[in-house]
Amino acid sequence: MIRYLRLYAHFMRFSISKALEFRLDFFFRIFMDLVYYGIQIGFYQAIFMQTPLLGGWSRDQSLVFMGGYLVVDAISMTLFSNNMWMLPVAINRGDLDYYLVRPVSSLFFLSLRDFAANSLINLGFAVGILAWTVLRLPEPPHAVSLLLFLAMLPFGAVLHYQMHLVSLLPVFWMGSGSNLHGIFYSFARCMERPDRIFTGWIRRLLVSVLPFCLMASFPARVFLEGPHWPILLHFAAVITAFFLFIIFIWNRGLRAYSSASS
Amino acid sequence: MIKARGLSKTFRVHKKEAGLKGSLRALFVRDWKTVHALKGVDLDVGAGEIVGLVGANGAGKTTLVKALAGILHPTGGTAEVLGHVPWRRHNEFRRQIALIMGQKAQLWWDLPAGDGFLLLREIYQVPGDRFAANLKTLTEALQIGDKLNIQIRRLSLGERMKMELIAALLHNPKVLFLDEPTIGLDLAAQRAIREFILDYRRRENPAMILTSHYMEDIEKLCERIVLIRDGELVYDGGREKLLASYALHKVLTAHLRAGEAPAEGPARPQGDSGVPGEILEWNGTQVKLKVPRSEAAAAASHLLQSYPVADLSIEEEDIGTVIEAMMKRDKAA
Amino acid sequence: MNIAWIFYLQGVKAALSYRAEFWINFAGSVGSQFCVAFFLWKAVFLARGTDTLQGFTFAGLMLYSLLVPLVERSVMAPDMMGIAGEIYDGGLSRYLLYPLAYFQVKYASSLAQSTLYQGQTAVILAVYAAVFGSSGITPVSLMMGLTAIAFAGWLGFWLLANLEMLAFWADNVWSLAVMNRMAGWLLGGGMIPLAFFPAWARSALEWLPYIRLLSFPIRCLLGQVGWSEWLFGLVMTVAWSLVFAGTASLLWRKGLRVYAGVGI
Repeated sequence: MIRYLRLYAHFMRFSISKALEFRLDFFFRIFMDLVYYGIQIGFYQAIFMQTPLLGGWSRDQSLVFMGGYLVVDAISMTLFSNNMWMLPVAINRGDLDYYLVRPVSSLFFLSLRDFAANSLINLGFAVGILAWTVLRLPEPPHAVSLLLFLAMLPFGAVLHYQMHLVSLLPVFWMGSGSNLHGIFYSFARCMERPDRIFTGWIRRLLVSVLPFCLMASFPARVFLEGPHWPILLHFAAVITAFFLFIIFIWNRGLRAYSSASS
Repeated sequence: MIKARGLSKTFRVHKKEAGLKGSLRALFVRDWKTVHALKGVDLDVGAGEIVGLVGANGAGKTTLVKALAGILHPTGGTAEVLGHVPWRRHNEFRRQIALIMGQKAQLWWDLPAGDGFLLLREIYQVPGDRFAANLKTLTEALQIGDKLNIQIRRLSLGERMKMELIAALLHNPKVLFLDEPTIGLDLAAQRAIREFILDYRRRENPAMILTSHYMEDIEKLCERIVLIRDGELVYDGGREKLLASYALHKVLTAHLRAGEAPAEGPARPQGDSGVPGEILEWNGTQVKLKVPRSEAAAAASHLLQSYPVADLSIEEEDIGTVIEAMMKRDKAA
Repeated sequence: MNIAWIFYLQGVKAALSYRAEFWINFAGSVGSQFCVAFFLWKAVFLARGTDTLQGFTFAGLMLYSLLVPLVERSVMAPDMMGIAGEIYDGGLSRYLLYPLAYFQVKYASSLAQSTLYQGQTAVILAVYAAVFGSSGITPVSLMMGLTAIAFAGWLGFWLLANLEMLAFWADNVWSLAVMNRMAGWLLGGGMIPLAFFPAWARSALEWLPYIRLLSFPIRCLLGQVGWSEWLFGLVMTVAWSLVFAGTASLLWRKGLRVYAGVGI
């Protein structure tokens, strides 16, 4: 464990040095995410000009939910996103060989070796936006709910990463896979809307096998509507299930990879 | 055909202190370092000439070639290739030149070479019959006609290079830039490409500039050699003259008559024993010495008198060694 | 044969060679965008309890939401056209060497992709019309809309070309392309129809380029645009295209002076 933390510190140092090397790109990326934040705020402002409630939430409550998914997105971008972009390339080009010969979990290596310094700065902005939305709630928040909310958001980011990874796993058997990201990001849009607007079987999908509604909506519900055990259990169960599923498929994939490469 | 005067190119690169602190600092304050890739180069190349451009890595060879081919905009100086300023990239100019880079594929990676050639025919507007004739001559010369329908990425390195050569010559360019055309190829492929280049010169009489790290390329192809070091030309002249004025040594090889010398050969002289120069080889049948030019005659007669010599030859030093020695000397100076 | 035409055909061939991925990606992205829009507007209509919002019925809004990803793909077709990549890895050298006009080649290739997307748009509209009726789309509005899309594609090309050419100085500019997309998404009426914006915002957006990329062609297709507004819109599209073509040629000239072709 300590060894992995020390390894991670090295990843961070390397990535930060590398990111700062291209400084225009570095600033562009920070600005890109700020544009994204601005657009989300603009969207909710415009929607609430038409309706008093969305998925059971008022404007103030929806903005807190929005602050939540901006934080989830920023954490995921900081820790995982770049790595996920590189993953299919690494597997296709055979770079995975380098990681398989090292005495470290290949999944750990490939998921975390690139740390996005620019997104860390955006995480600061996202947390600021979240704080602003919480402070403008008409009633002061309940301390336990707030703590649970803040504790659940990083797990929402883990779930985000898990889904991205799951969408990429076919690359072990498919060869190419550059377009798989597109599919993931298409579905990931569902994260940005309150879960209760979805109904029927689509809703059932979005809280189980495609758990995009869990990433930010469930934490926000715990915060806005008080902690409910079923929600917390549901949240934990899905993350654990995906964790086990990914380990299983990853090992299957490695076997396919090593028997296919010459 | 090619004329350059005072050609110079400077790049700006930033220096970074090692470590995280240096990176953070570099985000806001940058120390720039100016690199002079070319410092006032003068060069003339006429029709039918093959000029060997020789220099260490980073000496400015490729920069010079790219500037003359119009890819790079130089910082200073003038150049005229076929009466055009290269970096204005007039279509008339581009239709008459070709650049081949051994390090970089220009043909479309996912297409078979044949398709790529057809596209080039349209790009260069080569008339149909001339295109067919050229393609036939070129594929026959390189013996690669059967590979035209295979995607470029599935070809071997040697085959790919041959395709690149064909692609570059389909429009009968009058000026040819060859940047390491034989890099990474096996000896047979290297030889084929060299012969092919000479053949093309016989037919079309183009002006060519060739860079290579293989001295054999330079030796077999170029009568004229241009040495470049740190962006400056340090030598421009004939290959023979380069040897005559810069080769400090000659190599004497004496074959000894069998039977007359002891089986293990004449005793190898130790220290300052009267044998002139440096001993490169000394065994029962052959003696090889490297001697200063001025002492070559004396050394030869010494060998003839002292040993049972069957055959004696005096040769110039290997051109690679001469160039290497020159580079070192200039650096020291 | 004309050289631009050859590159166009080559682009079509290349796009078709990734058939499966192409269609999966297309269906996934259009389907999920439409799905989110469907539930969002359903929730809004339910909360409001009205039949129309800013002149849109629920069915009309759905058609609009379906057209957004389709038109977006036709006018801002390729995320990146490869200009930045070719500057970064030196692939640009090839085009500098050949007697070609670089932008002509690039436009021909990007047009190839957007033609395919337009074909998909036509297929989906036909299916929609067969199931739900034509809802405002007439042959005339179709003609007006497709013309607007063609002009918008030209504008989108020059807009993106400007951003990609910043790679002469910045190495990596995909973030700018993403920003461009997001800006088009909000300011062009992709996220919500511009009718839902406050009046002051609408009149300001009228003069920006993004409205010409999405909102304007979609409204043309839906038959919401009269002849004079149509002409005005096309003129604005062309005017913005000329502005961006001008800055692009400036960037091109400046950029080539610093272009190193990778590896001195």
